Amino acid sequence: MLPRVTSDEPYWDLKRRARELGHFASAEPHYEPIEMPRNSATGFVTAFFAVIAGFSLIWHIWWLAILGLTGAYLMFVVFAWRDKAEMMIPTVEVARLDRENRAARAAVLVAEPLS
Amino acid sequence: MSTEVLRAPPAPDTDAEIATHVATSHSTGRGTGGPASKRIVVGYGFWIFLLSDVVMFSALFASYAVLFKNTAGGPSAQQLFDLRNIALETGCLLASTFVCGMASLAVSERSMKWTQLLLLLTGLLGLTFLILEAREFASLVVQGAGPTRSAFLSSFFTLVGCHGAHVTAGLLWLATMMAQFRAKGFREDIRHRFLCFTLFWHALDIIWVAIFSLVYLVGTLPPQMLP
Repeated sequence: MLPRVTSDEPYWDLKRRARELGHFASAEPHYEPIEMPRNSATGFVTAFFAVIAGFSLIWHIWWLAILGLTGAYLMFVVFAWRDKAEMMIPTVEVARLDRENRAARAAVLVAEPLS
Repeated sequence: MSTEVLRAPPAPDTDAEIATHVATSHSTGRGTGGPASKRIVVGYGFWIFLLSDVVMFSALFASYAVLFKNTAGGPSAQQLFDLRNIALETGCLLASTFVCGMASLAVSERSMKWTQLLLLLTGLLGLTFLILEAREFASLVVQGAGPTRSAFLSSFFTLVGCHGAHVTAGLLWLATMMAQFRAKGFREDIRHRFLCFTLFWHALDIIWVAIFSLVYLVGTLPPQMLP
């Protein structure tokens, strides 16, 4: 999934060559499954408790500060206890998405040829 | 870049094709050698966090150095610090880091008994450090040398207290870590977390060495030796 760089302005070169040729300069890439972290609300929930803790520490509302810090810690434990942290986008799905994208761009190449 | 990529073989579409592909190629589409292993990536990310922590401590050290002599007629570092207590604290923290290193050996040996035992000892030494520090802070406040007394004491409590807060958070993490080893065993992601914890614990020790030297040793120098 790493880009292949052959010039100083690879993206611009790619676009120019594609427009000159009237079709994509590169063959369809070799698709592989992509590993992604799963969605999680941890960041939002921790931020919520951190705001509570910060506010109550500034104004010396000690019971609320304890509540905020405990909440943030509990969220940390819940998050740390997860068993599945990642998901795979299967090759078929990666290929489908990229082919859709390539088809859309190829249509533009055909509709707006280089004058 | 391997030549395999340049050839651009037809994309595998079925699971069977993917399985064959994964079994026969090691670095296709990933430059030479592919991305680093997850352990390296996790460790690298955590180093970046530690560096941001070090940046924060640098700022606190700098403000302490600037405000060191601004005692506002109150007690100075020389009158306040008790090096015996500090030596004990330092001993606890250094021993804790050493035992933590032993615990990571126990983890690589996959010995649950020693891992739990050594982690418990790491935590107890850390807790002793915290108790000693809390007693030092309490005795300062009782002497009328609390953080509100002078700019020197404000910066002192901020710097050393920030380190103490880190140790407290580290102890919570350590307890969670022990529970996770018990509940989930020596799973790969748990071991990666433990690697981050050891990095954190060692980094706290390094910061303490700086505090020990720059705050306590320099603070107790005879006045004529200070710059």
